[in-house]
Amino acid sequence: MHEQLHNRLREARLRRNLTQAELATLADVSRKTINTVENGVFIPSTVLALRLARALGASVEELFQLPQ
Amino acid sequence: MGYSKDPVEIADRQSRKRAILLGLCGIAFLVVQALATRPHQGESALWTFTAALYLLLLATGGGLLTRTKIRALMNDDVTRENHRTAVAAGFWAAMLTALGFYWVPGADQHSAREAIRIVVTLGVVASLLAFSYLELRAHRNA
Repeated sequence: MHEQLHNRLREARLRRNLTQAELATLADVSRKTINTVENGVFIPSTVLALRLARALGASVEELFQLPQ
Repeated sequence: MGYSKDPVEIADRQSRKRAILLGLCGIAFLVVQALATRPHQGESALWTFTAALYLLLLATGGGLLTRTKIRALMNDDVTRENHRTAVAAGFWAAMLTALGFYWVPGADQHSAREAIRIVVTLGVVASLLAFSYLELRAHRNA
């Protein structure tokens, strides 16, 4: 997990029974983007965070949080 | 084995292939240039062509004949970030090589063309290898 940004993308995706490829299709991004965001390798841009949130029917804050 | 026609799957496969191919190109270029310590006139024109081709591949991401949708998926946010990092790695490799070459004893025995060949080679190879590594890392466990 990236030290500057915590994310619950994997949990949100699994709650909806989606694979990385299915979420990638819904959000119109590549599978490696989903993978790197979930693993904290890549910090998503604002646009990407909004697209992921919309694809999952969640708010950005549900998916991404600053560390306490 | 049948391949999926889903754009995400196609982009995934092509992106992996590109990462492996560019990594192999980087290694091959380094080996060939290391063996050709003093290129003849004809060979030196060939290495400049090869280096320019790799720079073009790095700049465009290749796949110019690929469908727009697939190409957009292959060159999305993560790849653009990896590309920036790889180009920066190439820049620093070229700068450090140039600085190091200046101080190497006997470096003034080499021609300017030879020095340029070494600097360009290491800059291009560093970029290719960095891009390949970062892309394959992004694909890991995907």
